[in-house]
Amino acid sequence: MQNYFKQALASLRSQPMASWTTIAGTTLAIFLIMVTVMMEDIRIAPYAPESGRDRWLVHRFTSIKNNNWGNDQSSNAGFNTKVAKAVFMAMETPEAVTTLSIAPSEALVSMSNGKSFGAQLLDVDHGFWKVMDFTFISGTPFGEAEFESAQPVAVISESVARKLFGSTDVTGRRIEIDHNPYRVIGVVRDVSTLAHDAYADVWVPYTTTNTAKNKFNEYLGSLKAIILPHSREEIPKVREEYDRLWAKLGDEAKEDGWEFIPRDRPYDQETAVNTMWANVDPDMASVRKSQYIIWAVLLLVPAVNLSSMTHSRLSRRREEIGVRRAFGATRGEILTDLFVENLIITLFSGLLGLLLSVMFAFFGTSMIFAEASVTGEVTHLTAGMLLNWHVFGLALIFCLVLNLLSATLPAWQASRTNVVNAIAGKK
Amino acid sequence: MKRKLLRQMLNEWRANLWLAIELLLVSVVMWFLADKLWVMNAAYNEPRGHDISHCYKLAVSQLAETSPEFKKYKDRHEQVADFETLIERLEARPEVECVSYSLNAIPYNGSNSGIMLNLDSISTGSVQQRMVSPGFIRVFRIHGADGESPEELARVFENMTEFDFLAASNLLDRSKLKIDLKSLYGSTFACGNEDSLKLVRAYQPIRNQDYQSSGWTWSAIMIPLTGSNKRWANEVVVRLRENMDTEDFKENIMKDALGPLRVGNYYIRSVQSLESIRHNFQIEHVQQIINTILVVVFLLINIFLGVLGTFWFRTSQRTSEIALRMSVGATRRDIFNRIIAEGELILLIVTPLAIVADWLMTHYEFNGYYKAFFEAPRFVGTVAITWAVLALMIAVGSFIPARRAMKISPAEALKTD
Repeated sequence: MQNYFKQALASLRSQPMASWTTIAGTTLAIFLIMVTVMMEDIRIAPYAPESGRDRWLVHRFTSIKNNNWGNDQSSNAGFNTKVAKAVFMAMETPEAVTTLSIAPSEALVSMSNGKSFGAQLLDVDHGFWKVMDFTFISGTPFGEAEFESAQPVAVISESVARKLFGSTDVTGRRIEIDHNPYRVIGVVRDVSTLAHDAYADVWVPYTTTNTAKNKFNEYLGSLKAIILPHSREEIPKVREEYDRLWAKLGDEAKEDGWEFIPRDRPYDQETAVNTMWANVDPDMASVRKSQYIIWAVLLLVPAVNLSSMTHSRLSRRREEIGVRRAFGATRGEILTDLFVENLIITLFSGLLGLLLSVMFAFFGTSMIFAEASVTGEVTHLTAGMLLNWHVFGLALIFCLVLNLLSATLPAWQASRTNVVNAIAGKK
Repeated sequence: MKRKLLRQMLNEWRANLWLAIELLLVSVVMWFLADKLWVMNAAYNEPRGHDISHCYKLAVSQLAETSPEFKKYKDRHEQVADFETLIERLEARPEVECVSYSLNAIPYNGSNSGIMLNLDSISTGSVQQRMVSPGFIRVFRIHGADGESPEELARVFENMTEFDFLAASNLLDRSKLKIDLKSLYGSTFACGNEDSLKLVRAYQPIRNQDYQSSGWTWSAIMIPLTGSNKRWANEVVVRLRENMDTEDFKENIMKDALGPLRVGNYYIRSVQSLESIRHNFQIEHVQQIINTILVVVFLLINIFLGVLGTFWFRTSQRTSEIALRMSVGATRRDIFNRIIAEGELILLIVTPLAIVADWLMTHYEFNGYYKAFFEAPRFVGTVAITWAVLALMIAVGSFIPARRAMKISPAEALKTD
C-alpha cells in the first residue's frame, strides 16, 4: 500500500502541470457535486430538532372534492381540527404524531412594559414535543392537559427570552402574544430556519389561537401532520392505520357529497420536500431524473478532461511499464496498479473538494440554502447538519465513479504497451 | 500553414479527440444553460401588470376570543364597521397614497384558489379568483385592457357588485377560441352549479411571478370584496407617496399598532414591503439562476483546465519541433498563434455537431418555454453566446502554454535534444 502512495506522489511530481490540472479538476468536480448534494440533503437529512426525518411520514396538504363542484375542481389546503381528532390524534401505532400549523406566522410579542417586536409563531399540539427533539434550557414543554384545556402557555427560544428578559431562566414569566397573555413554560435552544417544520421563535398550543378555528370547509383548515413511527420497519403498519382512519372519515364525509383525494399521502421526507403544490401528485421519478442528469453532467465533463490528463501522464511512463512487463508483470497487475494509484489522487482531491464544499456552504450560506429556509434567511447552520454518513458515502461513490470514468481507459491502454517498443523508446 | 496545422492535428488525433469530445459536451450543456438564462431573462423583462414600488403589506389579524381585549360583535355589520374604520385611519395618514384590502390576491402570493366560468360552449378552464377592493387597482396600478387608467378602472370597479367581475384579458387564451373578449362584456357566466357572474371589463394580465412567461400564467378574474364579505380580507396593502416612503414608516405603523390602529378586534401584526415579499416568493428562481451560473463557471474552469493541460503537455513534447521551426525563420508570434489556433480550430470543428444537438434539444422541447419553444433570434443568440464564451476560454487556456512555447530558446532546445 505504501508503494502506491509513493508511486502516486512520484507520478504527480514528474509532471507538475498535468498533476495540478488533475487535482484541480477532480477537486472542482467533487466540490460542485457535493454542493448540489448538500442543497438537497439539508432538507432531508435528520438533525435536531428534526431528528426523526429519516422515518417521518408527512401529511402537509389535504385534497377534497365535492359532488356539487365541477369535475376538475378540488380544494387543497391544510386540514382542520375535526380531521386532526378523527385521523391523526386517533393513531395508536406510531411513536408519536403531531398536528401543527402548516407554516409559522408572524406574531406580535410584547410585554407590559411596552417592549414589542414581531416573532415567528408556530401553533402546535402536545405531540409536537415528542416528534421533535428540542433542547430545553429551562422549563418543560406543554402536555396534553395544557393543550386540551387551552392553557395560555408558550415555549420560547433562547434569543426571544434574552430579547424580552435579558436572561433564559424565565419560566413562569408573563408575555403577551398577539394581545393575549401567556405564561412562559419553557425555553429552548434556538432552531435553524432550515428545520422547516420545527422552526419558530415562539410555540403555543393551537387551541389558544385562531388557528384551531380556521375552517375553509367541513374538513379543511390550516393544519398539517407529521407522524413519527418507532422505526422505518414500522412504516407500512402506520400507513395501514392511516389509510384505515381516512377511509372511516371518508365514509362519513360521503354523506354530504365530500370525497377525499389521497394523492399517495403521507409522504416520506424526501417526497414531501419535493412535492411543492397541494393540488399535484408527487413525481419523484422526474425529480430523480433531473438530479441524475445534473450529476452525470458534473461527472462526465471533468471525466473527459481527467482522462486526457491521465493519458498524458501515463504516456511518459511507457518505458517503466515496458520494463515491468518484461520482468513478468501481467497486464491485470499493471492495470490494477495504475488504477489504485490514480484512485489515491482522486480520493485526495475528493476530500479537498468535500472540504471546499463545506466551507462554501458556510460562507455562501444565504446563496445556496436560502430556498430551503423558512424565512429566506439561514440561521444557526452547523457542520453537523451538513456532514453525515450519507454525504460522506455519496462523496466516496462519486470519487469512485469519477476515477472509473477517467482512469480506466488510459490505464487499459497503458497496460497494453508493447514491451519491446516501449523499452526501445519507440512509439 | 493552415494545411500543416490540420495535418499535425490529424497526427495527434487521439489527444485532440479527447478535447473535441469535451468541447462538444460542454458546448451542448452550455447552450442549454444559456438558453435557460435567456428564457428567464426574457420572462423577467415582460410586463408584469402591476407596480409594487412603495407598497407595504400590513398583516392584519383579529383577536382570539381568549384575549382579554376581545370584543364580542353583535353582528357582522359591527365587525365590518371596525374593519372600515381601520382602513379609513390608514387612508387618513399623510404618507399614504391609497389603501387596498383583499383575500389572497396580492402579487407574489402562492394561492391558486380557482374558479371555472362557462358561457354556452365557452369554458375558461380553471382561472384564479381574486377578491379585492377597488383600492387594489389603485395600489397596484392595474391598467384596463382597453386603455383605462388605474383610476378609471377603479371607478368602474367601485360600481360593481359581488356578482360582477373583471377578467384578465387573457381569460380565453387557454380555451383556444378565437373570440374577442370585448364582445362578451356584459355577458353572464355560470360558475359552479347555481352561481353566476357578469363580466364587466377586462384588465391587463397580472403575472404571478417574474420568471414565468405570461404564456404560462393562469388567467384570473377580480371580484369585488364588498359588504359583509369585507371581514374575510386578510391582506391590507398601502401605497406610500413616492417622496414619503421613508425608513421609519414601518416603525411608525408598529408604534400606532398599539394605539390608533387597534380597532375593535383588529390589530396589525407586522409590516412587510412588497419588495421583500417578492424576494421571498421568488427565492427558488433566484436560486436556480445562482445554480445555473455556478454550473456555467464550473464548465468554463473545466475547459480552461482541459485546454491548459493538453497544450502544456503538447508544447513540452514538441519543444524540439518548435525550436526547429524557429530556427528556420518562424517568428515567436507565429508559434504563439499556431497553438491558440489549434484549440480554436477544434472548437470550430465540433460547433456544427453541437448545433445539431442544440437543435434536437429544441425540437424535443427539452428547454424552457418562452412564447414558443423555438424562435430564430433566441436560437441564434444562444448558439453565438455559447460559441463566443467557449472560444474565449480556449484562448485563455492555451495562452499559458503558447507563451511558454514562444519563449523557447531554439539553440538550447536543439542542443539538449
